[in-house]
Amino acid sequence: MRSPTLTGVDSPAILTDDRLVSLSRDGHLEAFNSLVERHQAAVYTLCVRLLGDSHAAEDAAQETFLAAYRALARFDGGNVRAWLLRIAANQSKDELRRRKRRAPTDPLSDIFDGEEVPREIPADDPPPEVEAERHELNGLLQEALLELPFDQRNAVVLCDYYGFRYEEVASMTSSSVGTVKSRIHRGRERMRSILSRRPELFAPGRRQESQGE
Amino acid sequence: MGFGFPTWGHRRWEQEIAAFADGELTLRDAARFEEHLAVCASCASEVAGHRAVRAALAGLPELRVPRSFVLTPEMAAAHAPVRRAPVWALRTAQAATAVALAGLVTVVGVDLANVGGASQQSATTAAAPLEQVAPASAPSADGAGREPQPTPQPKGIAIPPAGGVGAQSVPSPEATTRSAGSNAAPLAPRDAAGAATSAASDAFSSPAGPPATDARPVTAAKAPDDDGRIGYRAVEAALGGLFIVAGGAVIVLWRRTRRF
Repeated sequence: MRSPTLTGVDSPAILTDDRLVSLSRDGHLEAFNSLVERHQAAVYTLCVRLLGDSHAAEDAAQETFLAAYRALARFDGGNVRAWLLRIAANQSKDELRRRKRRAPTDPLSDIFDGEEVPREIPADDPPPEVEAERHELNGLLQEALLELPFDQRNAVVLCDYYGFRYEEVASMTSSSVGTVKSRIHRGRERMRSILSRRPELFAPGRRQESQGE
Repeated sequence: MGFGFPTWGHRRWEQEIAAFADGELTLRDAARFEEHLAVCASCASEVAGHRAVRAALAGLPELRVPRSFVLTPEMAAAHAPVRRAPVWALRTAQAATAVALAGLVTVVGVDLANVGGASQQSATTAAAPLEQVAPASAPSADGAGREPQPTPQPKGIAIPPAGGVGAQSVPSPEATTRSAGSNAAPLAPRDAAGAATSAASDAFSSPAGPPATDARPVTAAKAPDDDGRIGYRAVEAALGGLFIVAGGAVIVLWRRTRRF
């Protein structure tokens, strides 16, 4: 397998996803690895949200990029991240089946200790108590996600966390828009029921205020 | 995504709560839903709950990867990209499979129908001598002198004359000639009953015997039917082979064109 290096003009940092895919198809492993580095955090995060186990998520994430590399020729273009997340969801489902009878090796709290990267850089450092509360809520949200059936969990995460539209989620999960809508509706209803057990952490009015909605 | 709200029951409103909360309704339907929310505290509370869950999930952090997932050259070599088969190849194989299956079903159906028809024809031919003779024997019971009834005309090998007391076992050439035409003379009424059974068996065992009476062709008709069935078999085998090959191609190509 040839792996020519990219020239300085074709610095991976300035290349679009589509261009990197094209170069990858031509045998530029460096271009493909640039894609990996660009999207691995999103892929790994999805695997964690779906599996609730960091080791299982690592395996699923690695398998995702191996499968994506094999399937380069089948990629029809479009959103590369959506394509990778679709593969990640499939790999996570396969990993879940393989580990179905095994207990998670890491407590959920280990997943979040020291590994979180805030989505947005806060203007001010939040007070420790706010950070602790957010940390506890994140754990509660992850617990609630893991109580959903896999398909509902996947739909809710893709829509609510990654911000995909219903049609995009339908395409990524090979289902209809109506099915996606139903999964999201039921998934959120279930999560509300779980989260309502901890009103001090989650209350609809309270969350809306903190999010500025 | 439009649904035509005004005539809906409340349950249908509830089913659209998630879509409304996510901004997935059309502007018109969203406006109508908002009108409903103004008068339905239950739905308004549900919408707030959905939005809160969505916002909470959106606030989850992106996790730092524990290690890099880049591929080494060895990993890349072990997972070489699979060449994608063109979609048109898959569609062609699918069409060929469908055509082969439809053709096979049609040909088999026609073949079976022909076999059934030939079987009925054979059964009818075997019973024909009995039918021919029976009407002829009826007048004989009333006495002689009545003219024999006209009988069905032979189209092929006729039943040879039967033996028996008083039977006219040797047909005259004229009778033979007439039997080949359309107005062949029937068997003598007095010998009809005895002649029927032996004539029927002789027709099959001695096809080369001189035709003496009306009889439907049996052996000669087999030849074109046999040729036809051989032809059907050949077509069926070809279509069956095509179905198997095309079906296998569909399976292989489907796997290679499947999108992630």
